[in-house]
Amino acid sequence: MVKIDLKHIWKIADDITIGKTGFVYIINNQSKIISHPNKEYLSVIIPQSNEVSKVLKNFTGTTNYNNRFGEQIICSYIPILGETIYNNNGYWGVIVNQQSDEVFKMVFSFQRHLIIITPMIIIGIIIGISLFFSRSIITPIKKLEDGMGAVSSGNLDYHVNIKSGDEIEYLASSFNKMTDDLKSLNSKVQQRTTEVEKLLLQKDEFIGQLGHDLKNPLNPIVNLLPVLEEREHDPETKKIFEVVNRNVEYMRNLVVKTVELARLNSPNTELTMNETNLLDEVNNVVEKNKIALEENNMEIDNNIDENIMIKADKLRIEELFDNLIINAIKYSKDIGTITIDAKEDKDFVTVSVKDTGIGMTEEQLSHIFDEFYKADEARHDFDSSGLGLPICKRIIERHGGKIWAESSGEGKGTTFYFTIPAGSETIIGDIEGKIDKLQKDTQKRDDENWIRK
Amino acid sequence: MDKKVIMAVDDDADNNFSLKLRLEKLDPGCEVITVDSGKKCLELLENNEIPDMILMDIMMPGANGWETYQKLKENSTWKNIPVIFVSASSDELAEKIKGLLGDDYIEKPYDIEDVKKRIDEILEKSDQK
Repeated sequence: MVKIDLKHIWKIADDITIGKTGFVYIINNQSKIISHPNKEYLSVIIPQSNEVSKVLKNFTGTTNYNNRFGEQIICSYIPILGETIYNNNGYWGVIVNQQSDEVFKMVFSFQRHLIIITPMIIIGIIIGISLFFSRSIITPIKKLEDGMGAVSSGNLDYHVNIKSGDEIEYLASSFNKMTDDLKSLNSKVQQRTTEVEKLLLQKDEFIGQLGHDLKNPLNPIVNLLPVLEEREHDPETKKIFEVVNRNVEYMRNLVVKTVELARLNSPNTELTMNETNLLDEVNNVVEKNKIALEENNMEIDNNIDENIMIKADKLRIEELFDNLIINAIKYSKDIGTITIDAKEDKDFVTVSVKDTGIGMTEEQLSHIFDEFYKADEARHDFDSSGLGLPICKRIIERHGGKIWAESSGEGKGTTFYFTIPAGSETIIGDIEGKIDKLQKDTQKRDDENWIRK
Repeated sequence: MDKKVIMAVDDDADNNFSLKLRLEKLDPGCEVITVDSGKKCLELLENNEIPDMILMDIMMPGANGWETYQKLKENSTWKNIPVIFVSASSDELAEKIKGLLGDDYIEKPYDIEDVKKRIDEILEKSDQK
């Protein structure tokens, strides 16, 4: 016989609580309650019900019923002990009761949790996937983008390092190859540019040297021919001298102008920019050409305001006016007027030189600034090198201005316009400062040149 | 009145010849001495043959025009001799110096009357000093 302390069993059963409403009780084979959390029910014989009769017959199961308060109860039962203890006198039963409301409440609560948690999980998954894609796709693309930015801003040493094992890695390696190709192309272009620059410089040096070598022997020819001509009295020989002289003069003009144009094209030629009074310059040139103007019955109508200052290379601007005035004389038929005017407009002064000469066609107007262009090709013009206007153009361009010509047609005269940077109004103190600076500059250049020797 | 003495320094003998012929003919009151190098120019000066004016070519073998000019300016007596540079050169240096060094700059091929005019102007100025 095994002696069981029932108090011990009660204790165990009492301690079992299920939720708020659930409890456990034990009945013996006589349907007598031997353990119940509510002590009032102890030793009460409960009426035979479905679950009681089943458990006592050694069944395990679950059932539900309404108690006397009308609450639905879920009831589980399991037989215990039985024959082991009482030699087949029947089973004891452990019965668990719980209100179904509470059970459903738990289920509903779980369901509610599911409703809230599910979207959170989905969002979590989306974030996870995004992070994954970000690492595996967006990051490499960003790297490529950085690479393109670097290359387009000139850094051809930039290489994109992507080891994603997919198409993007392939793209990156193509990109790197392209960058390498660009780099080698770039160095080739630079090499060629350097070669071209060197050649251009050599061209300028060549023309400079050629100019020197041509001008030097021209000097005794130009100066001695008139002496011979003067000593000669034979009319035929005099005529020969006249022809030779004219051709020598033409050649001299061509050589001097070619060298001058090469000089203006050379980046090594620096213009000496000074504040210059425009009217003074024009008057100098008019004075220089006084005889030619008188011989050709040309009048000068100079309307330039005496206060207009320009920022210019004095010698070059005189050369420009010289070319324009000689041109106007040349293309006026032994009589006419040259009207010179200037208009100041903010940073630039627009100068116009208008003649009453033979004028120009549209076709001629579009070519007059081309090198070696002559308006009348049929005429063998000894006075024209075809370089006067291209030189004017380069002079103006080197000053940052523009030059153009307008004509209403043949016989209706031509007007040349050009723009040149305006000078500021000079005050006396300023002039002193400038002279001081010029002297210092001269001294400096002086010193530099001795160093170079 | 003594003749004014112009020293022409040029390695090109033809140029020297034509300059002397034209200038002396144009201005009977002037005598042109010609030398073919900067070295000879300095030698004459050392022998106290001091001209009223020097016409100096730039590109010459040996001591070129600039170097000779420098030697002139270093000497207390010679530095007052007016110098006109005469050159066919159009290199960068000539371009920069034009109007900055020397009393004038004449480009070859020149017009002899222009040369005479410039010489007279400079001599007039130095006489006033």
